[in-house]
Amino acid sequence: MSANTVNNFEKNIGILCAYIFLIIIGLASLFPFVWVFLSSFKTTSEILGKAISLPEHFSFHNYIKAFNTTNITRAFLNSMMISATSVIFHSIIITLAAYATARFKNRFTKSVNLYISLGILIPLNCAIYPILLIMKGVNLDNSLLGLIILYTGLGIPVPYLIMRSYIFTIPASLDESAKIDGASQFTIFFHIILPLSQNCLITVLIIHFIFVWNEFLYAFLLIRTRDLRTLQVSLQFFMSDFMYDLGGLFAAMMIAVLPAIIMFLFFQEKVISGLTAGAIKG
Amino acid sequence: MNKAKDLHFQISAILPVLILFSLFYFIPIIVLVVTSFMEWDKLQIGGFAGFNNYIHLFTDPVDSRAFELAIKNNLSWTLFVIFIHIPLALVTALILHSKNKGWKIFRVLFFIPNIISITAIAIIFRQLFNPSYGVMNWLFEIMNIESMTDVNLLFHKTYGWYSIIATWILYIGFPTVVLLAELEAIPKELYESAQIEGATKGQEHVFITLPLLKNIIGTLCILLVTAGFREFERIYLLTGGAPEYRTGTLSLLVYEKMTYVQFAYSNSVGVFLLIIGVLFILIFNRLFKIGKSVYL
Repeated sequence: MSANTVNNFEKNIGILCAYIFLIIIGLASLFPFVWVFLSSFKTTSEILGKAISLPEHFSFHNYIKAFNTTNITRAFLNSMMISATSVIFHSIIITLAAYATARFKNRFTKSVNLYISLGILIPLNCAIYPILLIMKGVNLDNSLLGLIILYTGLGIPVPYLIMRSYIFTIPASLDESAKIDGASQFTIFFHIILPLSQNCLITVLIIHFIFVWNEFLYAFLLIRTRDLRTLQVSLQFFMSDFMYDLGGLFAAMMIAVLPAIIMFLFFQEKVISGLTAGAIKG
Repeated sequence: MNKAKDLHFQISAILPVLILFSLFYFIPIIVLVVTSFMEWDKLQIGGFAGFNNYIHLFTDPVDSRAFELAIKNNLSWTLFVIFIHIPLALVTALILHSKNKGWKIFRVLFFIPNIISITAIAIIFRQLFNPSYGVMNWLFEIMNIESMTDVNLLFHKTYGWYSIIATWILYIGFPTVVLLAELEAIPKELYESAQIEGATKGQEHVFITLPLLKNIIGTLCILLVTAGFREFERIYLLTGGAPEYRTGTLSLLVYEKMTYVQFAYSNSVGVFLLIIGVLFILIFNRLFKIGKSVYL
């Protein structure tokens, strides 16, 4: 055999091993979701009977039950509302602050920058009770508005840094020429900086939206009224809602999870690059 | 005149962020640290207590066990991240980097679990581990392991914690994609000149790829380890810390102490959580010399 065929052989074995590795990890990590997906079409007795089997008849009765038994639609809307609202406020205020600390270099902005940067060191769940007290103090506990404000605040550090480092890539000369034309800082911000930061804004948007959407701890601690619950918090109550009705539980889980997956599949590139930008810039 | 206008802008632009950040980061941490040195096990805060709360965490028979197990589990999680999770992601990233057919599909498939909320994942796995209808039970029955059937692995004395680890250890989507992006950024010329010098693939990886990935691996260590410290809902929904705190973590302990109205203890554990979090960030920064360029 010539050297080439030996090398080719080794190369092909290598590629085969690589594929086997990828498939094993893929299967092992995805099979729980496939299991829940398939089981959501089974009847409860089927689920109790055989864990691994294809449903005998594909039926949506579990999904109908899920919508009727639980408040999943309400919870979904709550989550959507606080995520969308928080994201809007969040992007604006952090871009404003990032712009101010990026363009103006003085003691004030430098110390603010240091102050906020220290926020990345702090785990979000060490000061649970103090935060609860603060929310109670301003009468924002058990309210969706409270969650919106809380999340907008909690989500500041990393996106602020990302946005700030992006603004550095916008030439200050653009600001200068606008100022010569008589524009105020706010005008410059809204008409020059914001449009030019679209890419980074989308990144920040995605990061914060996913943060708020998936958040559990504070939504769990702050909201007591059933109708105000967010989606994630409601999920845990589904376990008791569906005590004897596993099919319903699985269907409810799928309803909760599928929108996120579908959104992701549509916006793949943006989501992936957005979430990794946090890691790379950081 | 202009200076005043500029200052006015700076203040108004920064104020919202400043207020919210102080309200939800700065003030809570101050309250956390200060009250951890006070008595607080009713609704009203008591008097100064010095280090008593911390001493309690180390000496009280029940709480010190819970505390010790919590720290052990947090450290164990950290080790799993550094020595299994990230290496798996590295291998996967290197494989996907070769861009064999279908790599994009794998990339998406691996990333999906990272999009799904941890809450949903926890509940799904809780069903999976269910002793009557779960997949684990089915597996044990097929393999005829009598001792494990009808047993809920999550609450198992030895394997419980590892079952929890199993719910995330293979979800390497995020670190893989980050590493993949960094790999893309490595100039091909480096590999070409190495090949001219006669380097093997292995040598290429060890002497070119890995050193260039040093920064991002360090960053990933920081991100994933600190995310591990922040974990709450997964463990809360899977086991709640049972049995007897064996699957508990510091995060869970902070919550539990709060539900027992033992706010001082809750805050002291919180301080520990804060310290450990900061410590690991500093350690990884030093260890990986993040920020220092790899090029001399």
